[in-house]
Amino acid sequence: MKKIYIVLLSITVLFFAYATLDAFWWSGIEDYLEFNEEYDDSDSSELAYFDISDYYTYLEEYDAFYPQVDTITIDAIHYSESVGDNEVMDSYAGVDDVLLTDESSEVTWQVEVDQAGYYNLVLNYYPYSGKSSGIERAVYINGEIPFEGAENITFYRIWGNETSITQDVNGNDIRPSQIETPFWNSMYFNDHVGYIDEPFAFYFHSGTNTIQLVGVREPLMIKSIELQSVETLMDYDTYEQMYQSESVVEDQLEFIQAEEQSYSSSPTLYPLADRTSVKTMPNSASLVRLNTIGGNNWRVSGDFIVWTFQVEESGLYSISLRVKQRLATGMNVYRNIYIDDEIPFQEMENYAFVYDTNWRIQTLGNEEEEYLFYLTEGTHTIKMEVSLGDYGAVIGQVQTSINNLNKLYREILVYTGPEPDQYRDYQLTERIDNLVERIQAERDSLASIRETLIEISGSKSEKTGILDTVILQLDDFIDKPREIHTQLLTFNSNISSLGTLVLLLSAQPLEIDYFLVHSQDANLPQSNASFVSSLWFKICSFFSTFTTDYSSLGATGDYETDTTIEVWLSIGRDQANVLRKLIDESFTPISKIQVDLKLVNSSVLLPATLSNVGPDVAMGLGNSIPVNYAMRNAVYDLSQFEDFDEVATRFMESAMVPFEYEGGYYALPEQQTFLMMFYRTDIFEELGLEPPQTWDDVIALIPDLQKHNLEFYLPIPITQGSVMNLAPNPIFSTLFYQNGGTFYTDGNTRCGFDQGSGPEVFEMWTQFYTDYSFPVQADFVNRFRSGQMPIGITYYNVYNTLSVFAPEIRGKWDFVLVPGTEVDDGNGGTYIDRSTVSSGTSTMIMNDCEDKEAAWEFLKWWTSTETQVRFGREMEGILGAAARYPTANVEAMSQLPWTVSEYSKLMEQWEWVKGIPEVPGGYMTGRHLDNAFRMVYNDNTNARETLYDYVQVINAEIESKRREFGLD
Amino acid sequence: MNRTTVGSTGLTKRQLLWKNIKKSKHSYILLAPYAILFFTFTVIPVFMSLGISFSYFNLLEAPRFVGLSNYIKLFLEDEVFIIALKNTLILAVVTGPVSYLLAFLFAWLINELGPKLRSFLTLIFYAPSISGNAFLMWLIIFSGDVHGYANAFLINWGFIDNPIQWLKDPDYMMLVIIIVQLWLSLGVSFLAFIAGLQSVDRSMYEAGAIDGIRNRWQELWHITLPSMKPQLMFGAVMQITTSLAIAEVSMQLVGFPSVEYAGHTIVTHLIDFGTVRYDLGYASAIATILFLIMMTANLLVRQILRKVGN
Repeated sequence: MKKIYIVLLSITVLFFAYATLDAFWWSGIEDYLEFNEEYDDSDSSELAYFDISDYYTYLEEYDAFYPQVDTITIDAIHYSESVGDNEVMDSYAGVDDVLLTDESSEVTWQVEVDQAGYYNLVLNYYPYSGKSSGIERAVYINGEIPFEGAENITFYRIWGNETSITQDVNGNDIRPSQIETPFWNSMYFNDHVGYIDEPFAFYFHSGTNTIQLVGVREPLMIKSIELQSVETLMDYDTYEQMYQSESVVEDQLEFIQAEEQSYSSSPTLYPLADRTSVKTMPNSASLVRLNTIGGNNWRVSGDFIVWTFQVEESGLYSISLRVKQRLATGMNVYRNIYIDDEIPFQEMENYAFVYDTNWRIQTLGNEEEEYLFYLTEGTHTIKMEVSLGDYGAVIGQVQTSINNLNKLYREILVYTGPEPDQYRDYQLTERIDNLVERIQAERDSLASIRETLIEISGSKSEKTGILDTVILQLDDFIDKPREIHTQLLTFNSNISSLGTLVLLLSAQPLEIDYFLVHSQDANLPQSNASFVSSLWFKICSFFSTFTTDYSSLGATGDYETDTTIEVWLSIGRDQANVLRKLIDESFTPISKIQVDLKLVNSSVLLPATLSNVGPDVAMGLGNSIPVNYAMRNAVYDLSQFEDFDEVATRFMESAMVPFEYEGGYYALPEQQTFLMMFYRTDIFEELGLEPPQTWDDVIALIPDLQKHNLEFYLPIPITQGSVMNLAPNPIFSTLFYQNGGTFYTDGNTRCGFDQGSGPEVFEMWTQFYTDYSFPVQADFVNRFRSGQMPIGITYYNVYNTLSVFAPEIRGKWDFVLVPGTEVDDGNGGTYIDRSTVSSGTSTMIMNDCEDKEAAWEFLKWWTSTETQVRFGREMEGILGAAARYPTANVEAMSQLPWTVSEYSKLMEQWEWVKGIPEVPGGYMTGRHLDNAFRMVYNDNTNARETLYDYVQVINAEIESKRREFGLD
Repeated sequence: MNRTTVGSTGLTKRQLLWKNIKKSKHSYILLAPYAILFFTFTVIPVFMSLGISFSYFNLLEAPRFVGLSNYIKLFLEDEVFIIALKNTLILAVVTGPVSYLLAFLFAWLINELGPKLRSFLTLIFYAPSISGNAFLMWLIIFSGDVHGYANAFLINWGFIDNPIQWLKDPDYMMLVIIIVQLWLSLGVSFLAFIAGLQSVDRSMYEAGAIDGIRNRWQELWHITLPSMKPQLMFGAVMQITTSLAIAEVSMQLVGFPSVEYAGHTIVTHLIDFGTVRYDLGYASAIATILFLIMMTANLLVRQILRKVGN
């Protein structure tokens, strides 16, 4: 026993000794320059071995002459040619003579240039309100797009906090909404993906040149375009020389809280709450305090945040920041730092922040000395902009490798198919030109990328690990080219992991707590708390979890209301928080109805309703639930409300179909997603194919695809895990509707699959799998990325996934309407019927609700265009483009940030969408349709007979349910 | 006998009972927490379910008495129930005894090893049972995609040309469920058996050796097994209830409802009616039948275990 006491005692002593030392001594010797990197003046064009080399080729196309002349200004209103809905305005927002160009406009200007050579272009613009997405324009110089990057030049919108940070009734901070705070500003034409980290240089020959801007996305208001000479920045030594005579200030220490930003380039750049360190200012153990900004939201190249600060006396200042960079493991992240909208010296371009797990205070400088900035008395701004720095070129190289390897993969696929025979010699070396040489070239290029990565960040990481795997495999291929086909599957997944590498490298997250503008001699605060105080903070936080109610979302204020409705929703917490905020801002104050919002699991609704403790309104429900509840008198018929018909016009008719039961409507749609056809433009171009317009075209396309061992994707949704209703297969439903089918006939008493063209359609659909061997189960997104499955039909929100998670195929895919069926229009001609089906979510009022009028007010408010648009934009603001909201409100859809061409395609398809009705016993329809399909596929039974058999089963269930509800 | 006692002390039966209760009130107080919980959450629901099974109850409206009609429908009209019954019995018969025997076999073998290695192997065997939904990894192994492990392996070795839809082809679905269930269910009984083997008094073996036990089999049958009867009983009960109540594994792996109901069990049938079709009366009838099956199986197993060591 004594032993234990001795051990315990010595542990206690050591603990106290550590805590004391930690608090008084170690914290006192902090090196604020520790994390600075030596400035590296490398030129990325040396690495120019890649796709974006298009730009570098362009730079070499003409004499490398960069004239140093006065800026040439072209006034926007003096255009030479204009197509589209453009408007000359006398004055806007304090600036005279401006031109408002439309989303689909083409405007051309003429410019006289004396000296031929490369110039930078600057646009003076106003981010005119549109759909809140980035403004994109294609640039044509003398009638042609000079290089690839000029196809979409992005001009940023300006976002700011709507209000300052306020508190709710519990004292927690509320995240301020991000709204557009536009003003006139100017921007270089540069690479919006950030691979090229300097403004684009455009070549103008002497004499008259034309510049044309073609609208891609969003309207744009232009004051002028400037041709500026390409300049290089001075380095710090020169800067120091320049301000040598100025005095170094003394005794100055000013905090700038990063969460109080002036404006930024993106709505995702909102204040965050950090609880990882007690030293983060401000902080509280029990309450939510918004105290930092950035983090994972601030990772996309080109995004910037601007802060404003005051300086009391003119002189030379140091600038320090309290930052954390722990998200990009083993990497540096880069920022361009601007003081008063200008990068003061070269070193502030691509300033590196190294990886470290803790918060730190870092003084801008290099490893030996801190940089001194000359600031005059008064107001200044500091702007930090994400740049890819050294990674830009690397990413470009990886992209090229991915393209080449994918192309190689597809070429091999032509001979081997996706599941090659292990024991066959495909003689790939003879069949594919320069196979080994090409692999060798890629291997070398990847090896040099690996070297570069290690050089930049100083260590190996999971990023180089990805490269190692690929290089190892390519080495194997080079050694034994006859066995390439045996490793085809892993080859494919290795290529997609290179795509992940691109995502990893291009993410540049950095979280900032505060800035310090201080004199060189100032006593900087500690960046990390001592052991004891952070332990105490954590203990306090832990105990506060017992008193905080996490399930209810606190309201912000007390309004004088007499009615309260209870709303349950089963969506994510982010969504719920946004909804709470919208309610507090625009519903409760106007309608005087309090909303008690609760986040619950959707499976709770049924038992709760049963025991009479259910909500008044339920949100985010599957399409099949409302009618199932309606049959059992648990939901209120919305068509009882006088203005129901008016509200219903907000949606497509198809969206209301699943909520209709015996003449009543029992829910309103929230979201509606429908099918679209996605295809790889690059592969289709390469093979000389066109996306199919009709199902006959699809069948005609199959041999062309299969010749190259490529696949077509038609989804077969499956049920897995949680209890749910299997909706009728979307592809079958699409075909069935296009051929004039009706789901339920004879007053919803029987299933219509066996009538009219139903059996024929079913046979055709099953043939895709039995005769044309389409894959029954496949990961569409990944195969689409690799190009193995260059075309497929799926719900349109896959767009979000592809645009965010597949950077390596950016701009190489498109979506179009689903294939149709040619139908006789009755006048001897034909048209293509593009009917398809949708899925979605809904919201309904429970029958137990006491104040149905209030609940109806809430539903009307929630599904209104304004609320849906705000909700959609807020969601996209918080979660990024991956969360684009598939609203069911038609008008709201037009205000979400889709481009003109995307929107018009979506609308065209949406018009064709048909709803699938819900009937008693309808859950059997999808289930047995799937069973029929599986039986045909697994056992090769006769398709038509199988369908007839299963329709009998479906009909039996419908009949028994109708009897149960006394409908017959 | 009672009557005479009552007469002789001059107390009524009720008074005597009350006296007895008072006398041993401490036992009752100690018993109370468990008894209350057990009654509220087990006994009462069982009887409620029994009651509901004679009614039509759609969860949203008040139940309505319908007599035996649920049971008539269940046995005479519901073809799917027969499929579910068949599947459940197959699963119970295959996974129940097999995993019971396997668990015992492994426990017996591992018990012979040194303490360190033994605890390590125990952890390995018990891990599947405590790791919750980790069996979802079988989804990747048996994915119907060409990239699923099982398919990729078989294709690589030239056994098949096209991927097998393991989880969507009725020919294979039961096989997959059985494999996964076996993997999952080894744990609990295994742990009980290990504990049982540990608790056998070592001196018994010596005594046995003196009394003429000649080999390990005899030792097992006459000494080891009889002395760990409680553990055997516990393992058996656990095994029966889990294998008759298989649902989660089937739902997660082959989907709910599964293709052509090939992976349908009594419990998934119950869930189908209870949640998808809102017919709780009918679901209760199924539950009652399941309850009866479990009771019978338990009685049967008790009979068999009684024979151990004789």
